[in-house]
Amino acid sequence: MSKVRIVTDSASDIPAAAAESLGITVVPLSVQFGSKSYTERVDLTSNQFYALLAGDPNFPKTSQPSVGRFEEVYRELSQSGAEIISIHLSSKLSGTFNAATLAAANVPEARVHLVDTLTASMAEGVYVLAAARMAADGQPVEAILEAIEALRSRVFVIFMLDSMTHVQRGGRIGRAQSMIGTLLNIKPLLVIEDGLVTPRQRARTTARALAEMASLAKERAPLSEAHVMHGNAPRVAEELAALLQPFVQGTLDIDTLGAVIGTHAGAGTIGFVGVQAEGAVHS
Amino acid sequence: MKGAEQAEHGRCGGRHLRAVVDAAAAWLLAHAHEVDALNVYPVPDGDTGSNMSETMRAATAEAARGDEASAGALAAALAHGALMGARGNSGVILSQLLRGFAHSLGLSAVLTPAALALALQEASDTAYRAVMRPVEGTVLTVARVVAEEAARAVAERSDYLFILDRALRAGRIALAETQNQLPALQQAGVVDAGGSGYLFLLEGALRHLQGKTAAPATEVPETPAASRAFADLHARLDHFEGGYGYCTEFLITGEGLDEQEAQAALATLGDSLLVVGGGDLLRVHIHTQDPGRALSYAAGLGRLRRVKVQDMSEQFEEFAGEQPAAAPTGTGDPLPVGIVAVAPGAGFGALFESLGAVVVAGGQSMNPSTEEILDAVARCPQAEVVVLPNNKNVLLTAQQAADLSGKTTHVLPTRTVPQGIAALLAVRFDQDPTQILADMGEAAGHVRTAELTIAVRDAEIEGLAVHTGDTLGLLDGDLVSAGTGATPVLADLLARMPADRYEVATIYRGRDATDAQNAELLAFLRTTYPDLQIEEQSGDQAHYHFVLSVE
Repeated sequence: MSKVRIVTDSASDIPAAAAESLGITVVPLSVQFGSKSYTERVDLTSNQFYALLAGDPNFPKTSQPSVGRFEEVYRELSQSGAEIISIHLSSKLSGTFNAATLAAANVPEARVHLVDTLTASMAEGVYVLAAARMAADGQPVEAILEAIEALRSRVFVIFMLDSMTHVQRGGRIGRAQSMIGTLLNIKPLLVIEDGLVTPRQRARTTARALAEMASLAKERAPLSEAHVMHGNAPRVAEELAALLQPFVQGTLDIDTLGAVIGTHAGAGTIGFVGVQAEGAVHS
Repeated sequence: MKGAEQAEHGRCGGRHLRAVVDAAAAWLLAHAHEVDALNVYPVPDGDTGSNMSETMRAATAEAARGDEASAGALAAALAHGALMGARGNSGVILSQLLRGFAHSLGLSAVLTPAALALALQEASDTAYRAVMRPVEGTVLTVARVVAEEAARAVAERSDYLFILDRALRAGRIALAETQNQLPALQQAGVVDAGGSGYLFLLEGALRHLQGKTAAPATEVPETPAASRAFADLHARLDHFEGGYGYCTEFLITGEGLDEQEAQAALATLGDSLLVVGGGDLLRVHIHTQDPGRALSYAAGLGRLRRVKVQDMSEQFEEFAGEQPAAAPTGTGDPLPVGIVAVAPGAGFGALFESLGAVVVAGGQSMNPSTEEILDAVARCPQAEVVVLPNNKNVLLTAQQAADLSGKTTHVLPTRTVPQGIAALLAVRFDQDPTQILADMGEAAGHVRTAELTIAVRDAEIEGLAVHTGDTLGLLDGDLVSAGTGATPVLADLLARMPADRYEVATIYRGRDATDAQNAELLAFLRTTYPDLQIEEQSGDQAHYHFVLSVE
């Protein structure tokens, strides 16, 4: 029985420790401030990124990994005879999935199964971690791919942006165009649906936005796990975690949005990724 | 023509009826200001006379287009015109009176005295049905008494003059009685304004039949040359030099009015000035940043009539075809329901547009017509629409528009603009219209609104002694506080809310508020309610110096 190896991109925001312990290969995207280019997680930590975001006059930009980088990874992993499941950021938000697809075609000797999660950050990360755990358990590729498909209806993400500037400037505004240009100071609440940033509602205050997020958690409770993600706003993240706690049966953790997601969401972003407990899926 | 002759002998056809109604409308117009003054609250929102008059203008304009020979068809045209042109609650009720009148006539070629009595009765019945909770002591009572007396009179003598005269006399007694029926009228020492407007219509009709002039002498018809000059000016100026401000037009009636003198005085206040007339009537057109100053000056010369102030920046934007920044674009999700918001002021209008609403200009003393609301509903790309009247005096017009609309249209009865903004913000992109409507209603109920305005006369309201020039404080649309200066009155309103239970305060500055008042209010808010998050916005509303909401 051949081993299964999991590949993802750095936009999945999975904790470095989990990546290491589960043997996940994380292909980094890069972030540029002006002429200076950084590789996410290699020479740019989240903390360094938010410091730059606050201090650097340039708006950052992101770049997907090269096809060549994916080819290297696939070639190397396939040499040990492993099958590869390569799990990525929404193809509607980034060219990363496309680069991985091209690379897979260029390395015919590697058996690569590509997964477009149609989401981002830890919502993508949830698929990656679940797959990696099953792989570590010695489960076959088919079972893992089936489990990933089964997860799709259970994973959701909702977030509040402090401002629409970054998502608009980065061109990832998707279906939320209708939320820009508001003269009133409002907090846009967004979700990712069918791979795109989608408007959900507009809240007048942060407190109200947090309450709305908690009400979504309640609607879909019980949650088997939840991950609060923030753009360098740890105190608000703690507040949100406290509101979510009653609806979460398993893990509830807090983490910082990585540099790539942070580039498009901006500082002050707050949200969470939830996974509905098995059997709790209504609709 | 046989028909015209018959009209003289008690059988009134379409053309004759039109002449009578035109005279009735002219008589109401001549007394519109008088009706406006019959205002319960001493706040500057008395516009019943103007609203009814505007509604009649729409009715007679529609009738003039068809020039129907049959009385029934003419009445139907009047009813249709009134329906589309209805402004304010009083205009809506008037349109219902006309609707009942027309319905009663059906396809009749002529209006006989007996048919007149029946039509007045159906007019009254229809108006009662149109109001959800009919209140006695209003125009409804007057219309009912008029109809009852007309029925008695026609049994005695089949004669228009006799019926109208008797009905009018009974109507006047009923009108005087309204003061004792409604405590609010009694306190204010006025009779019902809508009832008064209705009687002016009947009186105008009677005077016409009696061969008296309909309009008072001050209604000097303009010379064709002067009218043309105005029309030309508009054609040239209103298509735009890009200069913003307010296009302000009005008539001054008085004695010994001097064209040159007025011209010289007004020239310092703006441009595109045109002053025409002299003697007892002047007509003025001016583009100015400060219409208040032009109007104050003119009010010193005589009585102001047909005042029209239009925000040219709004007109300009409309003309230039600019889309609001937040308009649903091809790439963005539109709101799941269309939102039509009535906004009193360019600032509020811009706010609503930025949140995705289609805006109808109007509010206090400038109620939009049914047709304007209907047009806005039609402009929404969505199949289902929610109308936010944002003023209790726009509610009926909004409901009438909803009834007439081909789309599924709901009216959320918001009484203040902040209620409308809160309702609009509650719209979720992922919900069905039923849930959205419920969420909007709930959100509107959670916001508290304080409004500050200036008393236009002395009055005693709910035990509150009010003097001309006092600052009046309204809480959620009701007058609850009066005093000297904006800050003390606002302090009282905030304590009543109480404001310390809320998170955000939004202060919408009116066009008449001064920087000093603004600074004082903000300083007060910050020191008294340090935990409130404060947001400043320009509402640009007339009459209300400040509107403040907490939520």
